[in-house]
Amino acid sequence: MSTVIAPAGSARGQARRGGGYEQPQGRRSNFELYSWFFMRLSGLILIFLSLYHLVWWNLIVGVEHLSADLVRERWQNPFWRFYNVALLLFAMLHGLNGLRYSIEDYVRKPGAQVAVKAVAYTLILTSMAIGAFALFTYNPAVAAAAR
Amino acid sequence: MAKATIRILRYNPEGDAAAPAHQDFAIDVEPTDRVLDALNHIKWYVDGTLTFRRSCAHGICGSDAMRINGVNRLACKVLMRDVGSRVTVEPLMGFRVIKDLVVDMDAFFAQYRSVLPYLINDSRPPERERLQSPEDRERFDDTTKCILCAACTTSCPSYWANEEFVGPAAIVNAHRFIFDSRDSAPGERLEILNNREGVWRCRTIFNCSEACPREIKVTKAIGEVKRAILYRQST
Repeated sequence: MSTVIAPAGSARGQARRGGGYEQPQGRRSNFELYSWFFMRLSGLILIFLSLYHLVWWNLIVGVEHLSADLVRERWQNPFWRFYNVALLLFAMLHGLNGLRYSIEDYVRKPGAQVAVKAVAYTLILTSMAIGAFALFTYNPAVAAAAR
Repeated sequence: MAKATIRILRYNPEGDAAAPAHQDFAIDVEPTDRVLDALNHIKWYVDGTLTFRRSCAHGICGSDAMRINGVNRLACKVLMRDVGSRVTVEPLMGFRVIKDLVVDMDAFFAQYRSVLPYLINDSRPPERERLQSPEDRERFDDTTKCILCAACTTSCPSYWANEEFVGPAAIVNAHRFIFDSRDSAPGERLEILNNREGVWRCRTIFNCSEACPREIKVTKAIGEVKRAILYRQST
């Protein structure tokens, strides 16, 4: 039997001595599995979070009635604070995951991939942290005094 | 008889022109001719150097998968009346072109072999066949239809981007045995596919399902393998 040629540098599918074929040799890790499961679950939650958010502010309240006072009033309730933090974090994580896929698919040099990922992760995780910090620590009294 | 122009992406590694180039052939065809008949006509009566694979010519062997008007199809399953009088025929994407429409499929078959696409059962064989209920057979019926034409794998953007990706066809053929009640090594296959270059490189783009000439629900099969990995991990 002729030797099976796999993609350059790959162990996958090469004939193995003593029979059988080589399988991919990567680090054994369940990261991709858990990441996929998390995205499925949070994606489902995200649909309802964002739908309700849109319907509430745009259809029930109405854009014409939107005001800082209304937002502040809603913010007083801890439930809505967590709601908005969840909306922010899930949306950003889904965006980050899409970006990770694109980087892994199209930035082929290992060094360049690490560098691009580092920049993307830093930017997105920092903005997530700033967003969550602002949502949790916003103080209406200080904000009113500053006006 | 009607006139048709067949535009073929030609490449001859031994020729003067190093780069692949389109060449037009104006021929007479019947509306009920297949694209394969048109290619055969060109090869037999116009230009004998045209090179392509075909064998059974009835949509079973999977030899003549190619890009017809930009879509992966089997040339023997597409009628001229369905593609119009101007047809562009190109080799499958993502593989090295050997000559004209013939591509190097060694890597494809290597990836196919890496998922153990055969029955594994070390228990003593019964006197007659290993029995299976119709319901158990139904579980993997769809994926038994694969003819390894590579139309799915070469329509997959993830595969174009990363040749290490095992590809939809290999996952379909793993699915065929993972869900076979007579097989005793589904765990081994799930372990192989629980890899960055296994099922997780699939981005659920659905090109594979559209490209399959056997109408296998490829993306659904990949999804079932992903879920099987999850369930196996959680038990």
